[in-house]
Amino acid sequence: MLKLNKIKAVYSDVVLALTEVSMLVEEGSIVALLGSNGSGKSTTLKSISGLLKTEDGKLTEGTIEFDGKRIDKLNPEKIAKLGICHVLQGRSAFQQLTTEENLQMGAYLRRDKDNVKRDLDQIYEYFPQLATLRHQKGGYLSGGEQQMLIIGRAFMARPKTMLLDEPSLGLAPGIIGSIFAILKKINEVEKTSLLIAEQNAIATLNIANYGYILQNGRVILEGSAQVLKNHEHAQGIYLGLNSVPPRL
Amino acid sequence: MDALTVPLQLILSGILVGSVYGFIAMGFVITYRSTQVFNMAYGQFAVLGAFIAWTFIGSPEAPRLPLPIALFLTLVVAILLGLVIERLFFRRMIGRPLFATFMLTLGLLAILRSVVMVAWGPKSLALAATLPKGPVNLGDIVLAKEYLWSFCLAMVATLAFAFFFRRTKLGLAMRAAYDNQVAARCLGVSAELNSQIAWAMCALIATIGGILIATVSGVSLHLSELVMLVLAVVFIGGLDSLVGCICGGLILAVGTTLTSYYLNPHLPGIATIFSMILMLLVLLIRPSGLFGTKQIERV
Amino acid sequence: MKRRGRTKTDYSQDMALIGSTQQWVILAIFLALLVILPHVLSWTHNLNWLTFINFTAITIIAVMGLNIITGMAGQVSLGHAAFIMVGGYTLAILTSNAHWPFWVALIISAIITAVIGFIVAVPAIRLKGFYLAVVTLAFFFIAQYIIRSLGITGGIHGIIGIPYPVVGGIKINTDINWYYLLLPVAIICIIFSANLSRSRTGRAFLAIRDNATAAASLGINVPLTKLRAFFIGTLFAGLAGGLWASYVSVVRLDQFTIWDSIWYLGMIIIGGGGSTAGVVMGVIFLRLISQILHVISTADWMPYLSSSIMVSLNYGVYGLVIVLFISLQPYGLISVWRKIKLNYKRWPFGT
Repeated sequence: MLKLNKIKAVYSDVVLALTEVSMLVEEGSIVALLGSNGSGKSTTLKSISGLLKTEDGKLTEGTIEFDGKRIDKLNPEKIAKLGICHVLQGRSAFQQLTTEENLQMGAYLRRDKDNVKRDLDQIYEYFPQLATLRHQKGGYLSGGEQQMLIIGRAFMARPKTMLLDEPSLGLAPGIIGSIFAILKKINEVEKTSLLIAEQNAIATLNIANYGYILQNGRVILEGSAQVLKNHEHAQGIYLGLNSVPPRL
Repeated sequence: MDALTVPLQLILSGILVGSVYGFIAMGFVITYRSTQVFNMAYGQFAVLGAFIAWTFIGSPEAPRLPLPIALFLTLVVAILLGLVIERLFFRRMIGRPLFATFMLTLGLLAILRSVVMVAWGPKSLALAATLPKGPVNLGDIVLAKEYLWSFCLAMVATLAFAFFFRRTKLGLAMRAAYDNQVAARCLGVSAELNSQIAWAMCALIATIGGILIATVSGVSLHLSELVMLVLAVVFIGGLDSLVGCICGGLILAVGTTLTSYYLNPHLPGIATIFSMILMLLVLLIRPSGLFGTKQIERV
Repeated sequence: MKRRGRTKTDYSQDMALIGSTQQWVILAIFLALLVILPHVLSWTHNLNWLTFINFTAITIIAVMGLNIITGMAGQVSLGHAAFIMVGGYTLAILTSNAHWPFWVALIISAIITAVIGFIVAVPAIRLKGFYLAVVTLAFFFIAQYIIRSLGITGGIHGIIGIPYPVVGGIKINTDINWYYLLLPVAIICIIFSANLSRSRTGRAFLAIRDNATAAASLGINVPLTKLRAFFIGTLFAGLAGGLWASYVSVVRLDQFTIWDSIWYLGMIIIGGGGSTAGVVMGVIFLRLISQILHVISTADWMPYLSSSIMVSLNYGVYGLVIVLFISLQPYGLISVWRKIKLNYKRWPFGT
């Protein structure tokens, strides 16, 4: 279980990115992290995965716990070892490595060779397109294919929790549908919990159990996915209709 | 002797020597790819490595060890040296601007030179017969046996490293980290370990290469030659390409031997700056080199 | 409440090099000290220090030039020693072979060096960072080759017997006389460089150093500015080279090595890149270290160390100092100095 306790994140000692953000990602659940551009979604994920310090950022307040252990001061590599896999925004597939090598890198920390082989086949089942692109260099794959690749790569790590940063960015609607369907499947079958940061609220809330809405670095609304989907103010916020958040 | 004998001989011996140059340059490229450090002190690593080898193998006070053990010891010392240098100098520079690290390598160059001069003196030393010597005749062409041996060893070593990068998990991880370090860290690839391995490899390759060159031309302090040589090979081949190293080394060596034979009588000493001229031409026409990735020059 | 510090009421005050009467007074006293320095030294029988000071003055001029190229404009040059060499050889040929008068030859040498610097820069400035550095390094070796091969440069033996200058009937062939010639020249160069950094051109240099793309978007002609930096910087180098040649009366290839290029860069780093005062500090600092090493090694209480060991130690200490500064004080001595001044001004309040 992933727990954020009133974290405050700052970049370059001067840019305040998150204030008093608290969140809970229960085991086996899918949590949506919504908000418009610049609201702090990526920063939240980076705080969890330890990437904040690689961008001259730090947590000045609050703690982050994973399965009861504090992780907010650890290196990204250590956090990955603990079972959190951060799927980065954009084309983060290894461009010079082949599809298969990308997937093998996902299993970098694993020691169980046979299961890795089995998981590799599983990925090709989830994403048949990747099977045909097996020996192609990652850089030559299309946006949608690369997105599938990095999700598959994260799956290969068999993480307890996956953090996904805008998986639908730049993708055609049809592909978005299949990607979210597969994410749902991974969550159901493998019991991996997912924290999905997205601007595409509908698609995300359709598969999520719970959601948080960020604006200007604060959580302004949270609730079960059902409630959020129907909440009148929620719709206004992420469509940008209300600039002032309602008092909740 | 027909008209082709001389050029053929020159080209062949150029290929033999060039393979060693290419091999040495690989150490530079591996470090650059893994750590983004432009290591101006690299040539001095090779010189230092050769002198360490001399201590174990060639010097009069050398312990009477069988050759393989002596070589093994040298390589172990080389790896340790690489790790020490990483810890002392480069670990603290992670995250600092690349140019600062570049200047640091210049400082390191001076320090290493000083260490070599103080420890072994300014003399040239002969690395005792680590390789069999003598001429080998292929028809009309005469090649030096030790060059052939150097060539074979360089090729074997190159293939070993290629195997490491292509087929082992660690090698894959290093390639991934070069491709996208952040993504690699999120998958558990340790940035620190990466750095340590890169520098250990750097020292290892430099030492092997230094030994290979030394057995052919003696161990001495002529570092400026080695520094510029490696830089020339690396820029001709492409700053981040291992294939480019081999090609760069071959082109450079063959070119130098040909220039030396044909142009030296008219322009004495031109062969010594052939590498510089070629490197300049490449840098001005195609800065990324023959095989380098194009966007590198925007660094 | 008594007014502490200097308050400024208009732009010209802000831009001025010497701001207040107090600073003028300090400067005047300092200059007076400099003028009587040789006599103090000769009175205390320490005249060999004057040689050191003369060499340091020439180095200051040379490194000031490199600072314009690298410290201000951000174009890394590892070939600076080559330009000094060109300046030295040119002066040697003009005065020794062609018997030109000293000052004419000096100015022409500097200009010729600058022209060569300009020509070398034209293709080179398309590159950045260490690409540029390596190109300048290649130029250094090629320049050495050319000079070694030409007849008039005396090949590897160089040129000897370069005549000393005669100014207003006074023969400049003693350390004291050289001091009074070099001091004003060095001071003029320092003032020129300080003014340059405040001028439009100087600010253009700094702009392209920090962000060439942004500079271009402000209308700065980036390639032309880089060329200007090289021209002025190598002008200084040529000047320094000419002065050196005349001072030492011999020019030889082995006087100019890539190590010199490296030490010059080191001086800029140690002093603090871009700042004129920093350069002076950096040069004096490193040269003092060298001198101190020399004095220690020749002291009676030290065991005999061969000269090669001494030379090696010099490399090692220089390298170590450079590494230490880059690791610990990357902004150089000038930043340390400024911190001290700031704390002094704020005392007793401090940070």
